[in-house]
Amino acid sequence: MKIFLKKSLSMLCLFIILVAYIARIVWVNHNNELTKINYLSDNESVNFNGCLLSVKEKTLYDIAAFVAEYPQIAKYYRYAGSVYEASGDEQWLPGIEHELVVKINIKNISDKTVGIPIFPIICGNTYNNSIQPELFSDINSNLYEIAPGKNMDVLFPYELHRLNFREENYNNLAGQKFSISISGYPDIRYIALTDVKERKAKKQEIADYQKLISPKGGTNTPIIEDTPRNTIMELGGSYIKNGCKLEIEDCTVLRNIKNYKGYDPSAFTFHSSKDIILDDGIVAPYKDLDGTVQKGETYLVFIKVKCTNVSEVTKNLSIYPYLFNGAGNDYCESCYEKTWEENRAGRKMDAGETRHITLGYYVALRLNKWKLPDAPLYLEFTGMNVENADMVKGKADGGIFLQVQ
Amino acid sequence: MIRFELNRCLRGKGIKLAVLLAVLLAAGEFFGYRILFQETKEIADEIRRQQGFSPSGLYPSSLYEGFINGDAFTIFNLLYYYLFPILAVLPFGCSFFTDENSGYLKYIYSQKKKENYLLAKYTAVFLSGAVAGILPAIFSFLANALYLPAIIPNTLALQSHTNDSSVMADFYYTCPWAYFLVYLLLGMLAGGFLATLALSASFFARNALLVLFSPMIFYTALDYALAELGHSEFSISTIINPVGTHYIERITLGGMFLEISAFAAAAFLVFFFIGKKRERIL
Repeated sequence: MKIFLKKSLSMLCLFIILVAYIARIVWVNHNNELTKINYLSDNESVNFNGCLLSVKEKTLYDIAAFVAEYPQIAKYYRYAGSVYEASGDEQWLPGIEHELVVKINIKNISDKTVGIPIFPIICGNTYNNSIQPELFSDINSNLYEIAPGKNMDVLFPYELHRLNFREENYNNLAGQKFSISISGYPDIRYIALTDVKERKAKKQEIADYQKLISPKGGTNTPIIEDTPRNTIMELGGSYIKNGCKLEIEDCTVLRNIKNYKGYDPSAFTFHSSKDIILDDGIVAPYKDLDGTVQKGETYLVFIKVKCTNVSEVTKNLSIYPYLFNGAGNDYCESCYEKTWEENRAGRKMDAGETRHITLGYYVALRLNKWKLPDAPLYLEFTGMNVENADMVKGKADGGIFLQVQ
Repeated sequence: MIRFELNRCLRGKGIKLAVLLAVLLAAGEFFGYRILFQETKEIADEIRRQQGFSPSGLYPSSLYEGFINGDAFTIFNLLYYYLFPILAVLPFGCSFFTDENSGYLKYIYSQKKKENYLLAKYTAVFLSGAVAGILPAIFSFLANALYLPAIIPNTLALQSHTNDSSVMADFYYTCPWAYFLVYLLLGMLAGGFLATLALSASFFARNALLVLFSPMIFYTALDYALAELGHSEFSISTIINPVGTHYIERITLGGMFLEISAFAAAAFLVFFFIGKKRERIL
């Protein structure tokens, strides 16, 4: 009898656990049905965030034909690699053989100026890609926004790498099912691209492209060396990357924004100014993600820098330094890029051009344990993990540091 | 005879150790994925919200990307496939060596035909290795199913390792359970083969530890050798891991099954024929 009871009890327990497990799984999956995937026709206009999108052309270019058709982007293809390599990035990808360019007419039917979105592309269910911002900017002549009531043709160039496709699919790209994604989960909408036109490269275009990517054709070499890693520069030093030189002009640490001349709240790029500056001009206390206010002093650090393109060609300035304290093991996020926000095409610099930029950093002392306002501060340019750096001991831990005060 | 050998396997310490190791791996992956990926994602969602974007556009994490076989974010996938041969051998892989050295084999051979015993031993060891090899995947799937929806992965979610050039990529994005079922079968085949490799090693080894680690030595050596030759796609560790990098150097699904089946057949032949001819019984 006892054994029977024991067995029955065990079975009951197992049954309860099983029911609870199944109930939990049903609950976890109850939202799965929300996902809707709609493929829209590219023959009709589609409403997207106050704009009407009409696909006008879809052309699959051989890379040589693409470069010949849009010579303004040829500089990105001076190397057999890709835009990454040409822009000085160390990331390497094999050469791009094809480029899909989709021309979309965007009409702003809202009463506000609308920023042009970059739509990702998919191929079947298994491939996705987005657009290189520099490429998008140059091919569309730095077009970023559309005013109310206006309409414009915008080109969306998608680089297609052989690495990401099956051999047979890459050799028949025109026959693949490409779609543009215009909205995400749960209401996923794609514009299916049909009748993609192929544009093969002509003999002369191929010869020109070969010349462009040959070692002698590449003239993108910086005329001065990049600042090497593992470097700590004192006040007055200059940082050089990809032919652009950066020097510190001024550094201001303050708690009341009213003391800062030239303050512009619209230049905040990371947070809105209301999150950082209180009504009386004092820098707001630090809040956790859940909104809990933390004790401890907060500061804004504004650093004016001078950027000069010291190369002989146009460059895209791409510098996002972190602010570090003197011990080098703590940093805070950048939140303020004044000049770049005022002039949205500002990252592009002609040969010899000089640009003045104000960088801003929000520093919460409780988190960072810094001794502001007089502590030595450094900008770090690699963005790498440099937690073992120590400026006092002269240890850069692979980073590139430039003292700003 | 096969049933008798399987019973011995189920009553042994090895299977308990294999289950324990599988539970540890599954639990580690479960917490690792929850902490490292889910929380990071929640912070990213919060930052997006603060920046004025709606996080609703973000595709939710899927069970298929979160359990140990599909997890490309934590170290536990790598750890699982590194320890895979040990897991496979633990339940019953050393039993032939023990039988031979304890004198048990002499008793068996006096009662049963040699061929019958060898066949039963091979079958039991193969099955034990096949099951033990995939235990972490099953435990991990069951645990993660409690938190992650079995939603079909989406390539735009950027949470998956699989792209167009991966083996069975279409399956992954349309019928993921079938994709992982195929990998589970591959894992079982490889687990079975690696466990039976220990049987052949028993003929040459003088120490049980060497028998236990011989499949791992083979597995790792093959992986390194093929990597050196630039043919990682043929490495067993690459073939059985759904998060493998075989999309770089391609291999077909049929090729994957064929390779492991060929290894398993070779292991069987070596064990059976040496075992049959061998006279050394203590």
